[in-house]
Amino acid sequence: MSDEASPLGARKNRAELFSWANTLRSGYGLVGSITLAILVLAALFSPWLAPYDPHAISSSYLGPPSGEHLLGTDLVGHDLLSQLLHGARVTLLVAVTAAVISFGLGVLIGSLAGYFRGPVDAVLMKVTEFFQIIPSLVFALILVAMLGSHLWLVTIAIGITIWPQQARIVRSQFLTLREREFVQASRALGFSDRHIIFREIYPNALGPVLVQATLDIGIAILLETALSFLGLGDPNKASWGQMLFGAQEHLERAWWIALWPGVAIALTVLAVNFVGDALSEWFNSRSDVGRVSLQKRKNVASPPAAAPSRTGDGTALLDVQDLTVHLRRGAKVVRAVDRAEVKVRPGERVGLVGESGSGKSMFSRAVLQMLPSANVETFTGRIALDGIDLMRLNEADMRRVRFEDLSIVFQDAMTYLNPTMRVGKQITEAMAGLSATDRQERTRQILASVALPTTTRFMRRYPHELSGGMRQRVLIAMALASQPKLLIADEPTTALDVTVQAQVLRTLVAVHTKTDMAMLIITHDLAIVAEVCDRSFVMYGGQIVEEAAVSRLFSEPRHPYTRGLMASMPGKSDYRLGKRLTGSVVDLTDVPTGCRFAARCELAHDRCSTEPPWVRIGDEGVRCWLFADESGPIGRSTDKPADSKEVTTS
Amino acid sequence: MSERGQYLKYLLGTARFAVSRLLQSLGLLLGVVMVMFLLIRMAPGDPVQAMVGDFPVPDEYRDQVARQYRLNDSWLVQFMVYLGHVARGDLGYSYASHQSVGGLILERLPATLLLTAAGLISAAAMGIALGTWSAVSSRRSTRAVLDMFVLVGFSIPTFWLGQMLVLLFALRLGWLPSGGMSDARAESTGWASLLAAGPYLVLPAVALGIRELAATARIAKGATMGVLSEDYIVTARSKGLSSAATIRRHVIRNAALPTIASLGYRVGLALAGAVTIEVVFSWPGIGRLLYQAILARDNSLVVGVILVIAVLVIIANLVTELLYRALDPRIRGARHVR
Amino acid sequence: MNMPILRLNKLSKTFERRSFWNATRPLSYAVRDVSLDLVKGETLALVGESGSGKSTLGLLTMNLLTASEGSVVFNGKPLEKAGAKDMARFRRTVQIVFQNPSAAFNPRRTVLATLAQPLLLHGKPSKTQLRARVDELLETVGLTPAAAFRDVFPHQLSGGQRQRVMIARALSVDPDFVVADEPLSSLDVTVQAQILDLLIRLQRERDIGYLLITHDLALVGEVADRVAVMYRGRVVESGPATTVCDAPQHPYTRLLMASTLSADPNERRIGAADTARVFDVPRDDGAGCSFAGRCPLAESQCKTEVPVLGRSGQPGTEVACHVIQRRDGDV
Repeated sequence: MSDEASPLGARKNRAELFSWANTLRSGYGLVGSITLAILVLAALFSPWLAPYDPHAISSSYLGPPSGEHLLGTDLVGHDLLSQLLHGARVTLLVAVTAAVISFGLGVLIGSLAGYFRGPVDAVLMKVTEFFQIIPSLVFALILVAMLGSHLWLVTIAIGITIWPQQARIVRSQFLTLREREFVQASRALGFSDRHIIFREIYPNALGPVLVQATLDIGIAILLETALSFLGLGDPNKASWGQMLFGAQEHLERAWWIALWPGVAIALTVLAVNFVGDALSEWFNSRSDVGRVSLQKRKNVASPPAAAPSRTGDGTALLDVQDLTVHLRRGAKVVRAVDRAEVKVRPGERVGLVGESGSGKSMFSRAVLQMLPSANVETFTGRIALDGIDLMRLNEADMRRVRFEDLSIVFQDAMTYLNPTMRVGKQITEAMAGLSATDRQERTRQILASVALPTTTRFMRRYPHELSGGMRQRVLIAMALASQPKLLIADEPTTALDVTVQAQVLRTLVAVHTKTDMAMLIITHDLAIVAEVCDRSFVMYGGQIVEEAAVSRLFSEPRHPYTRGLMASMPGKSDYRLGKRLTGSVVDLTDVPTGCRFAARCELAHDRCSTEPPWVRIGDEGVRCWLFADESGPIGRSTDKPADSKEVTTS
Repeated sequence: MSERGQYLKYLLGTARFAVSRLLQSLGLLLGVVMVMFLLIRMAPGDPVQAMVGDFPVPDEYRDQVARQYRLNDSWLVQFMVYLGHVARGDLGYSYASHQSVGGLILERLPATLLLTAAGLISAAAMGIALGTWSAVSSRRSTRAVLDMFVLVGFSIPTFWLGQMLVLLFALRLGWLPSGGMSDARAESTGWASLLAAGPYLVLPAVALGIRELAATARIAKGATMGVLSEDYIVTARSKGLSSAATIRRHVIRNAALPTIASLGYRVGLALAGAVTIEVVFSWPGIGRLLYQAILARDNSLVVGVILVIAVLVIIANLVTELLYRALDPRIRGARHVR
Repeated sequence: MNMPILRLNKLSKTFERRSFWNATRPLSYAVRDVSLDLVKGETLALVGESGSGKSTLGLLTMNLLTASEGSVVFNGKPLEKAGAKDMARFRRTVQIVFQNPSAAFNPRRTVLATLAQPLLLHGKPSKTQLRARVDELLETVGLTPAAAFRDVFPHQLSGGQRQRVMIARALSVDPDFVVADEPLSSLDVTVQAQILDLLIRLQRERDIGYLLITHDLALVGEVADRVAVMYRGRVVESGPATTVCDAPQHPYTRLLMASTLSADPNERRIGAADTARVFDVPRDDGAGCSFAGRCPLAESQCKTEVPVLGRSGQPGTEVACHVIQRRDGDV
């Protein structure tokens, strides 16, 4: 983000400098596995590959690399290449065996701690703490020093000093998985503990455990090397570490003795780590599909408009025309918003209703110009706020708009507040150009307007010290801090209890009546629209399907989807008629060419296979063929001639 | 409650916490000593022989030595006696060097502290900077380069890296000394000698620090990436804060928490790394002391050094936990309102 | 009325909060002294806000959590004294449907495997029988044609379809009673109605009893026979659903009802008024009525003495409120 101001061109050049790293990054698994495969093969076939018997003594001791001895010879005159190839056997055997021991111990002890919990867990965790206090190298060192340096003792010593990490992973997997609902359901169905451990928990804990087991191989190699270097390896088994033992004294005269084994060790461990890293990326990508991180928006290619053109009909505060947002998700394209037209007039309270997957949240992000930039495929149309086209502003100007004119209240106040910043500070930092005392004063006013305490003590609190309703009101206060012209509330009460929801909605209404700010309330809950809004848009499958005054919307919904929505609200009279919508929301990655609602619509007919026009009826509108004829010829019913083209393009 | 009252309450809570942690740690230390005693007991070989040296001595002398050091008593008796001594600050007597263990360790401890502190602190500072920078960078390739560096850093044996550094910078280029901690001709002693150790410190600190740098960079990167995908970053940006302000006010502190939490753990690993590094660089610290003690079968010295390492790790963990408490308001938690 | 299948007898659940940082913390009560009868063919709605203990009570009912005090009585025997045979019967009789259908399945199992497992546990059907049973279950919950759903993994289904599979899994052992913990709240509005219709249909066809745990009062009015309102771990009012919804007695129930949004723009309940009241919900020290701190009717007695459920003025309902009980007693 630091390079935000830099022109696109320069950035690209710099990026190319390291593009090889990207390529390698995506190929870690492959590179690592191939390297390891070659190593294992070399170790297996070392007797045939090695040019000399590793114990054969040649005439040249401490000989530098030459045609005869490719990697040189050591103090006694052993051929280093042959030693290296044979040493691979010992090193890999020790490492894999130690990793297996660690895996066994880790899984066993982690499972015991995670399964029994309570005192068993406490004791076992104390044991792992012991291993944290005495680092594994030191402990292995002592073990080997006290008990002897046979290869198998070294292996066991390594194995029993590195398991705690694995145990901790297994334990935490147990603790999280056993609370998961599918495990609870199995218990409810009467399955035995054995079934639950082996069939439900282990298969799902596999990812991180395998990754750690892989990394353990690398750790074991490094430990064996260090032990041998200190002279505590098995002197009869020429592992790579053993080769390094004694190289120290000859560093000056014969650097090659120390160089090759070290390189071999580093490359092997690197290959192991590559595989481990690739495995963990793979498991992670499988476990959270489609998480998008929000970064800055794409830099606008066109230069910032020096004098922003005033557009729109002048009466609308927010005038969104023809807004289209398509996002990439993997290989698919999510048509989150398609040619949306939304107007909000000054001082109005407008609703935008839709179910999840209707595109309503992406609509609000688009207005704020805060789409996940990496995934944006198409982002076109016009978004005018008070006559200024936000699509044409550069990042700095857009930031000023967010700072001054446009605010948003999100759904989940706990996660949308910074947990380590005092709430007062979070409110004041959204204020522009005031002195410190003025800010304090203004903060008090805002807190009072959302019915929160105005004391200094309250302002010095942290989010986790507040109740859910208070947090939501802090979020509202933050949005109000800049005295915006438009407040967007994105599901402002969804996570709240009914009593708190009522308070928060009251607060929003009260704040609205005291200012001339306009509000756009985005929600899935028609009841909120009924309570709070003057006018509302209904969104389905990325499109606005209906626009109406709220009283009209509820008394006489036009679009079949709106009618279905009404019939799905318990407590509404339509609900008892039992005319439910069938099926579920249209998949935005796979929308039909015609009406997006047709598949669920009782009234669908052949015309619905072509896209319905936006039929304007007075101040209201509906996107449905049923109304195309009533209000006159097609030419008049569509709000602009381009509509006839839209039918063919989509 | 007044602000001051709150603060006092916080301090009191912290003190109580620190004391309870220390008490818990005492149990662990007891375990450490016990395990060491058991291992020594299981070790083959004759400690008396190790003590009197590799030449024949009269049996009376052997008996005298064994009596003097209570070597004929059961290990439990030895253990209890040892504990009694430790409680009085006496870590025993080193047979091999004919000095008190405590004195030996105290003499060597500053060197190790200097080495690990230099290696760890510079590595942590650079690691945090590198990790944060690569996470914040919008270029994927920056992160790829860092990932690569991290994995390479994790893959190189620490002591071998030391050897290679010596080879290149000391033996080939002659820029820096290859080992030791001071010029043999220098007169300075004690803490004063530490100041003169500068040039001697560079190579071992670098060799020790690379792995820690990689580790810290990885944690800092992960933590920062995690914070960047948090919802409150969206809030900050929707408020109209600039990227720089967002990072300064909202990212750094939150991302620092997990990084700091890991530092205590890293002290232990750095001390372990110091054993081999001190051997490579002939650095006169407790790591090399441990190595020499093991080779000489100087058991009381081994136990003493291990005990000191354990105490250092415990202190490091306590310090990081206290730091964490100070930085994260959520775990102070005295004023919770539902 | 049917005999109760399950009797919750003075159930309490405390969680000892031993945190890593603070050595000791006070006990927190999740459920306090709750007694309820769960009846076949009847829907008992358990209403309350988050933290009221309603989900904990659901888990206690399922014996997925062990009560600190009191017991779940099944077949006239408390569950803690039940042997393996009784326990197996309990598991076949009482089932649970969770809120979040995306977490409720082992992600590595197909729908067929998920549904087949409980069938294999409680019987030894042949392979064709098994397949036929699974198909039947899928069709029962409206996933037709069954062949299209058998071999898919949970993540390939929509939220509503997953919820249907979850219901099918609960039905696989042919239970008499189902605990439904917020079965609709993670679903889209239009899908909620479909699932609710399914639950009602199953009740009619199979005479299943439900413990419907919900925060949605509009839902209660539509489907429940009886309702129990929970606040801070205690039942504060219970009775026939229509009575409680139309004439709530306990001040908390009244607050809940008043907070429910109207679905009609001409009858708005949220006015601009009444913003002055801030709920900084007072700490509950265990003495007295836990609602007293928020209660407009609270008297001195409410702060010292815990009210117990007792008869109220409305027929069939019980309230735990000193003021209401005294008022109705006087009448």
